[in-house]
Formats: sequence, structure tokens, C-alpha cells
Amino acid sequence: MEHKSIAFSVQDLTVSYGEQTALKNINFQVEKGKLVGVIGPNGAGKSTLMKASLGLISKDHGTIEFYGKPVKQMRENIAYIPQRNNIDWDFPINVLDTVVLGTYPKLGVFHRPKKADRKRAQACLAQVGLQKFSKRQIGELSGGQQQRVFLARALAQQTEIFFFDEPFVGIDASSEETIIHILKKLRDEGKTVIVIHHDLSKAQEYFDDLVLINQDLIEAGPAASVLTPEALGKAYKSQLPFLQSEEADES
Amino acid sequence: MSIMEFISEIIDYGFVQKALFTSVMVGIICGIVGCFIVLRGLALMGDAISHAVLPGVAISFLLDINFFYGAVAAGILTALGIGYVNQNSRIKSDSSIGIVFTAFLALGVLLIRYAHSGVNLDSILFGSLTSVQTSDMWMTLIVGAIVLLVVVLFYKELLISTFDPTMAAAYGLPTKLIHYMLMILLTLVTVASMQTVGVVLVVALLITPASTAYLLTNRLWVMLILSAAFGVISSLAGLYFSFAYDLDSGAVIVLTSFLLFAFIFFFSPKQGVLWRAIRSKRKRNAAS
Repeated sequence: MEHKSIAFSVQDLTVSYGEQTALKNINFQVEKGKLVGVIGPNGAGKSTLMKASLGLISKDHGTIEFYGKPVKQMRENIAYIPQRNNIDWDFPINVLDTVVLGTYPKLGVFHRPKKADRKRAQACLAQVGLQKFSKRQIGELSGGQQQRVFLARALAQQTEIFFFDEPFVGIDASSEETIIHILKKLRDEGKTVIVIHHDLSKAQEYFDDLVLINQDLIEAGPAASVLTPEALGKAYKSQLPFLQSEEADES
Repeated sequence: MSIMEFISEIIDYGFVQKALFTSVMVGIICGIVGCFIVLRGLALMGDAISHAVLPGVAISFLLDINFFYGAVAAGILTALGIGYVNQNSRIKSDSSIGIVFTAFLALGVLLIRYAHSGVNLDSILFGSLTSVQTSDMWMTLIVGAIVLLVVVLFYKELLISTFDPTMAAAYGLPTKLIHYMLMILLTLVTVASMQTVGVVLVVALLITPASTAYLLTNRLWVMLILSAAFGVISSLAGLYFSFAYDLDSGAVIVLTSFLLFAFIFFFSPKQGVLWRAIRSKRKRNAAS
């Protein structure tokens, strides 16, 4: 049997904000070359899971490994695209220069991006279909185009693992199609892609595996086996009081 | 005194030259550091640190060391103190800034009186270009060289940690360290500007030229150059009016940079209020 390598593993992860527990004893593994969705209701701790995995916020306990190594040794191999609302869209930077930022991690201190780096950025921009917009200020683009610019930047990072926080929120259908197409292509090239997602209707169509959380890990595994009524009920029940009242009516 | 007479005075008199070098350097470094302050939304922080160097100056005098060291120490302590109050309580960031820096400023006022230092409080607070000493000039030039060197060497890191601190942290940049490095630069710039604009008004030379440049361009390096240029123009105006008409250099510098800002604010081709109004009126007319 072929030995499957584990790209990303979370063991016993607990994170709290002050008194409040955001994530409790989360355990799951992601195989190399999978496109994985992290789903769960609002406030389930999806972004927290991502940030804690990347060492951007401190955890109470738990072990995070990328190919068996701690995140500190693997940063150059991970691209992270945070939510769009964390960006200052008035910043004096144009589209191409934003993508060029993706070449920074591998350059190291004191080195400037060279012609080859700019060429690579241009190629990444072409992949997301925005080469015509390279001189525009980033705030002049639509939400979907902005998200594609940040995907292009992540592509320019040339990493093995991609983390994407809610890429499909507030964007047009064609941008969503372009993005999911590129994510699937990355997966086919053997990269590992982890995406926070909230739209359950497309979860099975988009992702190989799913991780369903609501502070606890509810279920993790192949998409079809996670999207069961029982698991979803368990994850979403406490967030949707009308579900409970309906059940009460039935009984 | 006409401008020609003034130029011949610069050539003839050493003390005017010193003031010239000092003010040009101050214009450049305030303009450049100011860009990062403006883009990071730290204008209030700039105001706070510039005021808070005062007790450092007084304590240096009491300890008989160069006031530069005390001022830098006080500036850093303020930055750390503000961060500490902000992170360890529910106090919002603007309030923590206000609480910490006013305390430092008040302490500075008392200490300077107590020290009987002969330090002229007025010239520290409001600047006095006409009394620039050789040592002041050298200190400003050295500080300027340090600031420019740091910005050139770490341009890439400053750009990304300003624009997208999350990505910067995710790929392993020490974003907190960069923040405090910038606070150190800010303190150095404030100390270097003390003779020229004074600590009360230096914040204007930090944020006004940078904001003016911000209205004109969509590229960071162009913004840095424009901002430095506006800073230099303002400083030169301050120099001329303080020698020719005995006006307060700090006040003239700030008003000049404000006039530049006001002009660009209304007439800048892209962001100018006037053209925007004309464009939207045309659109409305075309639509109707």
C-alpha cells in the first residue's frame, strides 16, 4: 500500500481568549495533495484554528506540525491569505506590486526583488486573469478581483501549503469560479490547500475533505462522510435556536 | 531681507549654514518617517512620543550626559508604556496614549524647572533655528544618516509590515520588533527636530507632508520622496522667515506645510476635492 504523507497535523489543540475557550482539544490530520474545507457556524473558531496553526496567536496547549516539523521551521513553505477586511485598501500600492510582495519571504533581508521576481509576479497575475489591471491601485478593484490579487500573491510565494480564510465572501460568481479552479489545480499539482468556508451547499462540490468544528472537533474526513445530518445538527444546533423549537413542536 | 540677500548671508555666515543643513535634514527625515507613521495610523503615537522626550532631556541634564540618550530612553519607555496599558486593560489605544504621554510631558516640565538647567524650555517646545549649534547640526546629520540607512536597508520589511502585518507575521517577520524599531526612529527624529520645530509641533512635520504626498501618488517610494520634498520646502520657509523676520521657525514650518497640504487637498488631480466635485457634476449632467 502507498504510504500517504501527512502535510499538516493538529494534535490536542486548545486555544482560549482570556476566560473564554475558543477551541477545545482539536485533533485532525490533512494529507498532502488534498483540498480541505474547514466549516462550522459563526464563532466556531475557524479563523482561530487557522491563526493558531500558523503561530499567529498563542495556544494553551497542543502540537501543530507541517510535514512533521513545527511551524517556525516551515514558514517559507506556507502561504496564508487572511480575510479581506483586514487590509487597508487605500494603501499606496498597485496590483502588480502587491503580487510582488509574495516573492519577499524567499528573498530574505536586504535583498530586493529582481527582474525575475517581477516576471514571476506577472505570470501569477495572468493566472488569475488580472494582467490588464497591474497598474491599478488595489482599492480600485472589485471585491472578487481583490481576492484574486491576493491569490496571485500566494501563488508567487511558491509554497507547498496554502491557507485561505473565507475567500468567497462577498465576491462575484466568476471570481469564485476562477479561484476554486486554481485551488483545484494546486491540489492536482500535489500542493495542500486548506480553506475556511461557510457555504455548506457547495462544500461537497469544492472540497475533498472537510473539517467540521464548533469549538470542539465535530467530524473530520472525506466530504461526504462529514456532511451527515447528525454531524451538521451537532455543529449548528446551538447556533440556530429555531431548529430546536421546531424539534420541540414535533415532539 | 530679500531672498537674494538671504542666500548671500547663507554663504557668508557659518551659523546660517548650520541652520540650513539642520533644517533640510529635519525636513527629509520627518517626511520619510512620517509616511510610515501616517500609513500605520500612528499619528497620535507620533504626537505622544515627541512630547514624551521632555523628561529624558531634563534627566540627561541632571546626570550630565548628552540629552540625546535621555530623550531616546524616554521615547522608548513611552512607546512600551502605551503598549503595556493598551494590552493589559480594556482602555482603548487613543486613551492609553493620552494617559501615558501627558504624564511624561508633565514630569518633563517639572524636571526642567527643577534642574535649573539653563535649558530653554521655549526653544525645546517651539524650536529656535537661529540658535542651532555645531553639535546640534552634527547630531541631526548623524541621526538623519541612521534613519535613511534603516529605511533603505529595511524598505521591503517596512513596506510589507505596514501594508499587511498578518502576512508579514505569517512568513516569520518580527512585526513587533519592527514596530518598536519604528518607534526608535520616531524618537530619534523628534530629538533631531527639537531645535528646528520643537517637540510641540514636530508631529505636524511628521504627518502633514506625508499626508500631502499620500494624496498625490499610489506608490510608496514616490510618496516617501514627495513627502521628504514637502518637508524640506517647509523647513526652508521656516529658516528664511526666522532669519529674515525673526518669526518662530517651528510655527512657520508648520504653517507652510499646512498651506502645501491645503493646496493639494483642493487641487490634486486625482484626489483633489475641487476636481472630484467637477467630475461628479459632469457625470450627473451627462446622466440627466
